[in-house]
Amino acid sequence: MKNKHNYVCINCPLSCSLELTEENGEVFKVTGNECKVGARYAEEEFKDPRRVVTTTILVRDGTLPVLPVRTAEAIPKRLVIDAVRALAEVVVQAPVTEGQVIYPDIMNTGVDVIASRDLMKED
Amino acid sequence: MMQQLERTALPRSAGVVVVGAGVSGCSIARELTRYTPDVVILEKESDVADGTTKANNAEVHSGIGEEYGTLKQKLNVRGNRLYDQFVEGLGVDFQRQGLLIVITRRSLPEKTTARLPRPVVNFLLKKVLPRLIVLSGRRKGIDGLRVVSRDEIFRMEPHVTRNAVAGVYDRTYGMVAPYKLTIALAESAVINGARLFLNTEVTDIKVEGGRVKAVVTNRGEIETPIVVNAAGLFADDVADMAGAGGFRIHPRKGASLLFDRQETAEYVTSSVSEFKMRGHAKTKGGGAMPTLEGNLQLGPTAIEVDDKNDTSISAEEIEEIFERFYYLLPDFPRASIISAFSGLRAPTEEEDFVIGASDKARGFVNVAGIQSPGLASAPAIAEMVMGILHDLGVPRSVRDDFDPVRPAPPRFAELDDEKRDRLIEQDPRYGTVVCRCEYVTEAEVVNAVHGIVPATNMDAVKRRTRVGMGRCQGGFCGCRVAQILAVELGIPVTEITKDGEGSWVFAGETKSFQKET
Amino acid sequence: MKQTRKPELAVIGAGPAGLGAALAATEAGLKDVMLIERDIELGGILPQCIHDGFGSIVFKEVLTGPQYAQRYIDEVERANIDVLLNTMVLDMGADRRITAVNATDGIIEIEPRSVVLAMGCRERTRHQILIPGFRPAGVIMAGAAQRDINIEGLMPGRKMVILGSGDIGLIMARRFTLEGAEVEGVYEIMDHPGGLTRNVVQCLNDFDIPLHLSHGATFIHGRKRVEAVSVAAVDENLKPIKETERLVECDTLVLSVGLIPENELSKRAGIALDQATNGPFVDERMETSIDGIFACGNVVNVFDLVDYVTHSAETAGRGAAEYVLEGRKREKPVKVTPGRNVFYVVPQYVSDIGRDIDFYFRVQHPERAVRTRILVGGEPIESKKHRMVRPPEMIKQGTKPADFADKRAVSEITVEVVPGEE
Repeated sequence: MKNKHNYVCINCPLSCSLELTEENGEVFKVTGNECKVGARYAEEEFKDPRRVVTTTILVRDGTLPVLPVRTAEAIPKRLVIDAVRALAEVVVQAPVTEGQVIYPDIMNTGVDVIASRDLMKED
Repeated sequence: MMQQLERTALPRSAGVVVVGAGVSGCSIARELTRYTPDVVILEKESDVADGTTKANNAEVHSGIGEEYGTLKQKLNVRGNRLYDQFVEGLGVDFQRQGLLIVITRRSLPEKTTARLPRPVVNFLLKKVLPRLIVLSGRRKGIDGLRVVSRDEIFRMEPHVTRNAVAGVYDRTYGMVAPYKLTIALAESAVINGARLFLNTEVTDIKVEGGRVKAVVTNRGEIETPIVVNAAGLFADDVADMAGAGGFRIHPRKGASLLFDRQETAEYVTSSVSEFKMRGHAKTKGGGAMPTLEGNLQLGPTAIEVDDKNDTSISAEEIEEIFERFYYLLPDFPRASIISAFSGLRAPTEEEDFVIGASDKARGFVNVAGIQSPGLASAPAIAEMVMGILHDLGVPRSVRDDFDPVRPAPPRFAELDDEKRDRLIEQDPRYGTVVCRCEYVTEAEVVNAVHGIVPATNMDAVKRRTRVGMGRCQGGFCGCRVAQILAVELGIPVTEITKDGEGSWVFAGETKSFQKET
Repeated sequence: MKQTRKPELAVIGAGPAGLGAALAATEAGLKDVMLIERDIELGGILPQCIHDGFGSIVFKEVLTGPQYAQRYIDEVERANIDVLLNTMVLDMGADRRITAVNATDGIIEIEPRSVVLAMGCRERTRHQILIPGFRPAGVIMAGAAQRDINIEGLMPGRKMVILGSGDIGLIMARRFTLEGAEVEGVYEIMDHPGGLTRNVVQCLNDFDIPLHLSHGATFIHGRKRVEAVSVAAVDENLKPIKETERLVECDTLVLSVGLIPENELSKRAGIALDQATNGPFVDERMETSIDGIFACGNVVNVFDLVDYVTHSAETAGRGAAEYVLEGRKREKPVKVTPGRNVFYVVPQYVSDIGRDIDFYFRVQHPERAVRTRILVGGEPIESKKHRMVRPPEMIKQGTKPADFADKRAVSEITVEVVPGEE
């Protein structure tokens, strides 16, 4: 049975409303796109949507109480909430340098969570 | 030190208990401490001036708008005269910037002007009405009123509508910051021995054999022979507790709008209002006022409400203010609005002050129904109440050790650079500006928390220092102030409130919050 | 009071605009550059913008706000620029004299040879949009909430209603959700979202947070703490339709209703301000109406891409360096006029057509299949095609001296949008 999925394209200000038709996971067509980028985007959103996750984690002895972190690359969308929950348990010790790995291989994605900035130790 | 106000047990007895720390209660308390230190002030909210006084318009009227012969008229005129003396030593700014009463075509009722020929109406408006106003003022004992011609109006206030016909200038009218005044009065009373208890609500008054015996509160009982009921909106309830009632307070809401200081600083020099003849004026109609801080203020409205806690502003009320003053000042910068506030007046049904010793409960003194001109009348109310209290046994001679001086805390924003530098040398926290819009420093915030009447929440700090009262309304500085409060009070920042119990600011710390939900 | 300091350049504000200007001025030859910042650290607003989307133009990478800031902070630290933190500028005169204050030095008098203004913006408040109701705790601006969570580690509430669908509101919808709060919905008074589609998708749709277009807040309930907000649909005049009013329970009302460039100091100095942008009038070098005072970043007009903020900052920094080292006199400037479907253009004046000029502008309403053009004396000298133009997306378009080549007398420059892609 054919299923339809709707997405809004984010690649340019046109924000085309896309409709993707698939059956058993196999994509038949994408309509509503004005360009190839849109078609590709719809397929990606259907097959393997990914997001960069950004959040903060607790810091000990830092000039600030929390440290902003990010996944080095986008991870599967369905893992975002669990990833953020896992990171809520982490406490890092100041000082921290930007790019430092805070949590390697989050949710077994192979993607590291890294520090977004330097954070000095409080004196 | 701040904890004293809440954690300290109430004294077992006191010479006089003043209920209510608004401008009336604090004026009386200060006056009392000239004669005796044995004064207790009880306030149910978390700060002084938190009821009607908080939203007061800051006008010290001359008395011209009051009906002749009423108690409020007499006390207003007397109070206005005493004002300079009243604020002396308190470190509070009071200025007689004058009121320009503008007469326009709308000044006489339409049914009058509609029936008369145009030249007659013009004559009435231009020649008769201004002189009547001056005469009426003189009869009430007000000096310094004079008729102003149309040309002079525009010279004095170029933004006034060209529909203006004539005017009256009232030079004894002034302005004072109501909360700053109240805090100063309260602190002066405390300096002179009075004890102030916040978050303390009176629940009953014990009367035995027709005499006041004690005040019962949510935190304990105080034996006392004299109670001054200055409980504002709840004065009727408190009076009933002692069997000394017989009046009802019916709240009347007043809303005002505030405009950005830079945009409106020189819009008007004096206050400006439009004269409107009404049968029995319940309200003076408000006007455009340059507050002492320099913001333009428009208002207030007057709307009867049922709820003694309804300080909300509706869309209609805001529109009404714009419409009403649009006629008088057609080009005022509407878009420069930075704040709207409203409060509740506490009038009785008779629309006059109720000040007197009760004959049903000896020792119980009502100071109720203090609506406008309550602020202007404050010195005279205190004087009148003192007379009553002397008759009830309060000593008649002034104490040797009475200290009339209450030093005002330094305000960085108003000082010259040399003074600023000296302050910073004494306390480097004067060099850290916390509020960008109003240039309030960290030291001022810390001092407010440790003041003689300490500030224990965000609004209390705001009222004392002006933090959060500027263009950004606390957007930049809010969190910093909360953290200073937390450190100085020795409590977690998650327990900081905006204005007392229930007004929490933060739901929790991020990661622990996340784990809970 | 200590001795007066006399740097070649004083930069007010050390966000991306101030950092960029200070570095560009140093690279262009200034040796004595002072950077004044009121906050405890450098970076301005970027340290609290922990989401990604920054730097795709300048660094060809997609970075988070703090990462973008870190790049400039590292360079400033290497560059021997005099940094004053925790320092508030109290006043500035038309003669460029600055009075500042901090806890260690007390009052500081500065007489710089040039100034770059980079004070950024503040947020529009509840009273400026006149929301009726009570004034309880729990009414907070989105940027302030962002700072609470991402810098101070504090949650401003448990159940939020967000008013305004600009990017800050959308970003915070996701942030609140990831931190365990509930976002009941986003209410937008216009009939289209105020922010990027990317944010509508990744901040709202991803989390099933509803977006209610053509809706406004009509009353705030709760005396001590927010208890609910009344919302209603609005008509074409943006006035609430009473019959549609309904009560939404929440404990926090988050406002994302616009940014206002923070030009208090500019006003004190008597710098001419453009009502359309709420920022100073500037020329192609980002110089204001007062010689030697330049401005860049959000204090000039609200940019949406930090990359453009950086570009404007580099222009201003170079301009300041030129002013100090070469002391040029400005030619009589030519006015730049917003044409068809253009809301405003920066710069508003062009003094020297003999250099590359970057124009930044916004359209008034969305339009498909158009060209944006720059005209001199009515004739187009530069043209660019767009599939779609929308107000939330600022357009940058440049000219080169060669484009003006055959124009002997430049009297008027216009920027416009015309239909048709050919």
